Amino acid sequence: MSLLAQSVVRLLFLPSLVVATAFCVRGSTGMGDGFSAGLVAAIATSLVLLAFGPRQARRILPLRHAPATAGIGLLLVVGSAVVPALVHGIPLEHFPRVEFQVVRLGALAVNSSLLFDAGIAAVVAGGVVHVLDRAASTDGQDA
Amino acid sequence: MGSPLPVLAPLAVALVSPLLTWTVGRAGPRAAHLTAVSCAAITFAVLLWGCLVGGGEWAWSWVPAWGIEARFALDGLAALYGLVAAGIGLVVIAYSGRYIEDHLRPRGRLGEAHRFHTLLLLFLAAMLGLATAQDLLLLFLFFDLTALVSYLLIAFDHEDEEARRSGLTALLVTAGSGVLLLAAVAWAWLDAGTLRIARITALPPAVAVLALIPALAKSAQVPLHFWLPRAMVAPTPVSAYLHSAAMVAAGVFLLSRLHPILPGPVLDALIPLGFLSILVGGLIALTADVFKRLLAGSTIAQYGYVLVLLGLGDVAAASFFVGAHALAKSALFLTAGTVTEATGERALSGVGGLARDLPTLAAASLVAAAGLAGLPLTLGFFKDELFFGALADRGTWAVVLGVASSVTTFAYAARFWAGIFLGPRRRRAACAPTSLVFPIVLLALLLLAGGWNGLGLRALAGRAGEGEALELAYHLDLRLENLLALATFAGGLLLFAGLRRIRPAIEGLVTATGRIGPGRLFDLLVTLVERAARLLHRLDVRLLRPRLAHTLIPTAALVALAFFTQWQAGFDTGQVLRADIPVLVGLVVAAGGAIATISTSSDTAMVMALTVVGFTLAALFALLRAPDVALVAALVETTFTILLLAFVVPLPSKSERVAGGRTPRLVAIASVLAAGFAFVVTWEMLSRPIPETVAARYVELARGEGVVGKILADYRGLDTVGETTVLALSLASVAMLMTAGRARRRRP
Repeated sequence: MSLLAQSVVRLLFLPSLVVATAFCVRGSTGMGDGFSAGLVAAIATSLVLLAFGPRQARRILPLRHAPATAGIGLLLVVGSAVVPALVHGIPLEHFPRVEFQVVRLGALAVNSSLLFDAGIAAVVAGGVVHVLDRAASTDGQDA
Repeated sequence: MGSPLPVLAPLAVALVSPLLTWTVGRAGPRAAHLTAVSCAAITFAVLLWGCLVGGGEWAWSWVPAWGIEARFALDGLAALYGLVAAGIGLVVIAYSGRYIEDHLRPRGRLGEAHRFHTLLLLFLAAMLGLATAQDLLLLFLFFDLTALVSYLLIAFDHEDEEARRSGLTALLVTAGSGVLLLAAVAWAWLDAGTLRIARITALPPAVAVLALIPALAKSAQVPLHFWLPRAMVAPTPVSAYLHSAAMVAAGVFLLSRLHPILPGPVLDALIPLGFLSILVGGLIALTADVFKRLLAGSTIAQYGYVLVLLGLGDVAAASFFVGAHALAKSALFLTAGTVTEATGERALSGVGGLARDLPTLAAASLVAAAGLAGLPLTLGFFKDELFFGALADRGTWAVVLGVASSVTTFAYAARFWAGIFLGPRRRRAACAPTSLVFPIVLLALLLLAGGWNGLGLRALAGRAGEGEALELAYHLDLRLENLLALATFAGGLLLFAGLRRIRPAIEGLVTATGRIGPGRLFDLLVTLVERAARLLHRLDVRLLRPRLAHTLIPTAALVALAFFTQWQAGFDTGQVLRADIPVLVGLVVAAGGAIATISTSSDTAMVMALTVVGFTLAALFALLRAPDVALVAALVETTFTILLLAFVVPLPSKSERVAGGRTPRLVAIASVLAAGFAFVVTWEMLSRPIPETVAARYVELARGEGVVGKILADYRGLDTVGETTVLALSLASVAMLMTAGRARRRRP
C-alpha cells in the first residue's frame, strides 16, 4: 500500500489506542465501554495489517501475543464474576462498593469494574486481531 | 455436624493427586507411576484415618441465592464405597506401572504413561466425591465426571478405532442417561424445595424412575448392559478398576444413597431387573472365550445380585456384596492382564495348564475365583450367605432363583480359573514379572483374611445400612443358608462339568439375543443418527444459501400462522412528521442496501452492500438521539466489514465454486417470503403503543451516560461474562479452522 497510507496509519495508531483506553476507563460514567474500546483497538490494528501487510505488521506490533491477550481478558472477565461470588456470594460485585468512599486517581474513579471492562476489551481486541492475522496469513502473502 | 477434617482431608488429597501426577509425571513413566502410587496410598491412608475417627461432615454455602450448598459427609455408605474405590485404586495403580509401560512401548506412546495414571487418579477423586456427596446436584456432577473420565480411559488407545467406538458407546449410554439424572435432580428440587438428600422424605415415582435409569446404565444392568463387554478393549487396569470396583459401583451406589427415599414399587422392580441381569450376564460369562469378556459378563451378573439385594431392602448386604465382589473381580481382571502379558493370548481357547508355569499367580487367582464363587474361607462366602439369607424371607421361588444364580456364578468362576490354569498346556508362559503378580497376591490375601474375620467390611457395611454390624460367621449346622450353599457348590460343579455339552446351545441363545438385543438396537440408532447427520450435511452445510432458506422458510411459516390468527391486532401507518423525513430517507437507503446485498453476484460487493445497511442504521441511531448506541453500531459495523472482507477475499470466485443448480429460485422465493413476513411482524409490533419493557427502564437509569456500557457492565453483567466467553471461544475456533485450512492447502 502507498507510503501515504502507511504514514497516516503510523500517525493514527497510538491516538486510536488512547481513544480506546479512554472508552475503557470512562466506561461506567460516560460514553463508551470495554466492548467499544476493544473494537477501536482491533480496528486500529487491522489498519496496520492492511497498510503494511502481515509480515511487516508483525514486525511493528507483537501480533503473536493476540491469543494470550484474549485469554488474559477472559480470565479477567470470568475472574471479576467469580472472585466476588466466592468472597461475598454476589457475582460481579465491584470494589470499593457503592456505599464506600470513591477512590479517585485524578479525574478517574478507580473501581474494580475497570478490570471487567479491560477484560472485555482485551477479549474483543485480542480475538479479532488474532483472527485477522490468521486470515491475512491465509491469503498467501505470508504463507 | 461432625468435624470437617475427616471428610475434607481425603477429598483434598484426592483432588491434588491427579494434578501432582500430571506435573511430576512428565519426567517419565517411572516418575509418574511412583507419584501415582504414593498419591493413591496417601489418599487411602487419609481416608482410612477419616473413617477410623468416625467420619465427619462439611458444608459450604455454594449458591446461597438458590439455597444450594456443597455438602460432603463421610458416613457409613461413603466410607465403604470410598475405601473400596481408594483401596482397589491403589492396588490397580500399583499394578499398572509395569503394565502400561509394556502396553505403550510397542505403540510408541510411552510419553502418555503419566496421562494414564492421572486419569486413574482423577477417577478415584470423582468416586470419592460421589461417595461423600450429600447433595443431589453434587451427586449428579460427580456421577457425570466418572462417566467422562471413563470415556477417556476406555478410549485410551485412541489410535485404535474400536477403542474409540467402545469409549463412545460407554459415554453415550452412561453419560447420555446421566441427563435423566439431571432431570430427576431438578424435579426433586422443585418437588421437595431442597437438594439435600437427608432433608428429602420421599421421591415422586417419576423422579425415582428417572434416577433409576442412569443407575442401571452405570452398573451395566440389562437392558443397558451392552457397553460393558465392549469396554473391554480398554487396557486391563482400567477394566480391573472401573469395571469391577468403581464405575459400575457408582450406579448401585446412587441407588443405595437414594434408597431411603425411593418409593416401594421402584424397589420391587429392582428384583426382576437384577435377576434378568444375572441371567444375561451369566450366559455371556458361560460362553465367552475372551477372558475379559467372560469377566465383563460376570460383572453384569454380580451387580444383578446387588440390585436384588437393594430391591429386598438390604442396603447393608448390598454394600458388603459390592466390597467383596470388588476385591475378587479386580484380582481376576488383573490375572487376565498378567496371563495376556505372559503368553500373548487373550482367550481361553489359547491357553491352558499354566499352573505349572505360574504357580503363584495360579494360587492367588484360585483364591479370587473362590471368592467370586462364594467358597468358604474366603470373603466371598459371606456375600452368598447374605444373598441367601435375604432371599429366604421371600419364599421358595426366590430361593430357587437365588440358587440357580449362584450355580452359574460358581460355574463361570470355575471355567475362568480351570480354563487358564488346568488342562493340557497349549503354550508356555514367559515368567510373569513380580510387579504384575504381587497386587493379585495382595488381593487374594485380603480375601482370605476376610474369610477369617470379615475384614472390617462387616462393620462398614452395617454402618452403610441401618447401623448394626452384619452378623457373619461360619455355622456348622444344617441351617438353610448352609444347605443352599452346599446345593450351589454341587450344582455349580455339575454345570461346570456338563458345560462342554450345553455350551453350543447357550452360545446360540447369546448370538440370537445379540442379534435382536438392546446392543443391536443401540448400534442401529447410532447408524441412523449418523445417516441423518450425513443427509443434513449434504442438504444444509455444503452451501450457505439453501441453508439460510431452510431456516427462513419454517420461520416464515410460523410467522404466517401468527399473522393469520392474530390479524385483528391492527396495522397502523401513523403520521409522518417533518422531523421524520431524514429517518425515512435513511430507511430507504438501508432497504436499498439490503436489496443490493441479496441481488449482487460478487462476494465483495455483497459485503459492501451489507455495510451500507449497517452504517445507515448506525446513522439512524444518531438521528434518533442515541449517540451511544450509534457509536457501538458504527464500531461493530467497521469491524465486521473488515472481518467479512478478510474472509471473503481469499475465497475462490463464485464460478469456481460448486454450482447451486436449482437453488436460486428457491432462494428468491424464500427471501421474498421471509422479508414479507418480517415486514408484517415489524409493522404489527410498531402499530402498538410502546409496551413497558425493561429496555425503557435501562435508558431511564442510565441518565444519558452510555446506555450500552451500562447494560453490558451493570444490568446484564453476568450475561456479558457468558457472552464474552462465547465470543472468545468462537474467535478461537475460527482462528483454529483457518489454520487447519491453511495446513490442508499446503499439503501437496
